[in-house]
Amino acid sequence: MSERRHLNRHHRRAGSDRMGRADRLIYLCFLMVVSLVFLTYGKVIFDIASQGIGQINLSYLTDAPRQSGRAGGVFPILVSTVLVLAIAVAVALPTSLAIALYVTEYLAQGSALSSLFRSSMLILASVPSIAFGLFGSSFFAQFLGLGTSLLTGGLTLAVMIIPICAFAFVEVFRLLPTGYRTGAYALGAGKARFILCVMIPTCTAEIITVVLLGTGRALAETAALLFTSGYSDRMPESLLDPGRVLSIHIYDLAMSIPGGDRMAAASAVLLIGLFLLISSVGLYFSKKAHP
Amino acid sequence: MNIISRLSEPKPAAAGHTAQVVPCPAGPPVLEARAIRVGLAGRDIIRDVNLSLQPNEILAIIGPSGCGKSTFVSTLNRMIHHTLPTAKVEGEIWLNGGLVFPSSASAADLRCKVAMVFQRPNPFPFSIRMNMEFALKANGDRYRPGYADKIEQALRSVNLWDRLKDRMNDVATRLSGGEQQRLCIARALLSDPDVILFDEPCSALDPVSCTAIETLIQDLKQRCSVIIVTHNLAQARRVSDRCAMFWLRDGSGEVIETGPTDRIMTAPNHEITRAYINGEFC
Ligand SMILES: Nc1ncnc2c1ncn2[C@@H]1O[C@H](COP(=O)(O)OP(=O)(O)O)[C@@H](O)[C@H]1O
Ligand SMILES: [Mg+2]
Repeated sequence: MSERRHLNRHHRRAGSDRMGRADRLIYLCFLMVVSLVFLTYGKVIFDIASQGIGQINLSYLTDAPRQSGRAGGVFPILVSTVLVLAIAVAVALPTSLAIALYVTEYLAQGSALSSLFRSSMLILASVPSIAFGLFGSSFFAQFLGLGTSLLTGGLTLAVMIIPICAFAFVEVFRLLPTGYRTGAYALGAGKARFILCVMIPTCTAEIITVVLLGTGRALAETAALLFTSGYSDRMPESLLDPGRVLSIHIYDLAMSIPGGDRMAAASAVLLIGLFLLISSVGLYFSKKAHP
Repeated sequence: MNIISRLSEPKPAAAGHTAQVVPCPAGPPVLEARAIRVGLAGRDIIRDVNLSLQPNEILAIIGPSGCGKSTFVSTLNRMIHHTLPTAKVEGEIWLNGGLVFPSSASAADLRCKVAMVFQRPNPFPFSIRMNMEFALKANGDRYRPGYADKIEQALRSVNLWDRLKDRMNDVATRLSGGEQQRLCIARALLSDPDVILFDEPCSALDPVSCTAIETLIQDLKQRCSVIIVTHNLAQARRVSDRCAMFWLRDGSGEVIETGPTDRIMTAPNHEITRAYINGEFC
């Protein structure tokens, strides 16, 4: 009897030991993957920063580029970048909100049209950006006669991120607690009041997050802008002038300007910095919306 | 056609206990549902429901889960179009002598007169004041200077004013469950409704909050009529004047008996009601 108990205990101990080993093995695997990833990204950032940060000073931010960007600054490029992004967000935010509200609030849930909308948004979100670039140059630049300009670039980026934002907004609105909806309608609110006074305010943080996601995607875009906003590095004088955005500047310096590597790295640091800035502003507002 | 012909007949068994003494003065009803049928995906969720509600009366709707109690009350203020958008509703609903369903009049106006409080307290995640102001605006009240008084009155009638008057800017969802539910009742009172529908208002609450809500419902009787859906027979006995027993027959909910609460609880006419009251289905 005592022998059996002993055996039993032995067995259990062995079992738990094996579990412990498996646990440790899995933990080590995770640790390895995570450190590998961290090291890789760390190296990328370190390389860019160590090459680029030395070039960045006040005159780099305020001067125009010289010798195709090998010297001088990036001021006109920053201006073009901000303008293209502003146009893209100004067009994409209301449009994608409207699409998402239409799908969630006006189409019957689970209806054929609603699922058609959702799947086409998903497909459009994964279309390669070069396709949007070609579309933008043939539709906005040529057909609408906007030419190679900031406006064409901004609109093309808007078309590119609208499906991404609309799809994400639909998911956000679907997750709204049903109690808010029934509560508002039971108090006699109409659809417009529910949308404007309950839905949008309670989803502000999520809406900002989604817009940031889209902005980040737009900020990093080169292929869609090459044929639409162009690569002239002069200061744009109106929205109908062409202008070079930061990502195209990096691409150009790295690929076609001999000796442009260090300046490309500097612009990349700037791009990362700009993204961090946009994200933290967004985060600040979303924190404010959800205290 | 079918409904009309059914309406012109004398009312069937559901309203057949006229011989009993009704505790409320039997005048014209505030709210009357005639031959309500709700179909969903080829099945009747409820069928041929006839119920009326007297002024200042509390009607309890009792019956087991899934027999269509929530579905029925949500037809009364047309909330069913939001909760079950594909459901097909037939029948007539009369409010103060006017036909409100089927009707081309706005559902929003109806919901100001027939308010609703849900099982889960559902304040918006805004401040207490904004929750109340939302309700006022939704009622179409544009006189902003009057808001503060109306909000105070409504919160007083749910015994929350003293506790909340200095916390009007706190987020409503941080209140306790019972306080949230009372806030929701206060919010519903702002439109000065004729009828308030309570769908199991206590099932998400602790017993103490539950007692507070029950007391409140009885106070509400002074100013409007109440329909309360409840699983809890003791609660029905405590708060209601009249009971309607729902039961599932051939997969559809029907009213099998209505009558004064005292009689339903002590001497029900219907065999199933008697068994249900005595807990024989447990
Ligand atoms: N969203 C829904 N989809 C399909 N059927 C539903 C839905 N909601 C309710 N039902 C059906 O309606 C019946 C009655 O539900 P309900 O009115 O909630 O009952 P009760 O409130 O009496 O518990 C249920 O048996 C269920 O089958
Ligand atoms: Mg229910």
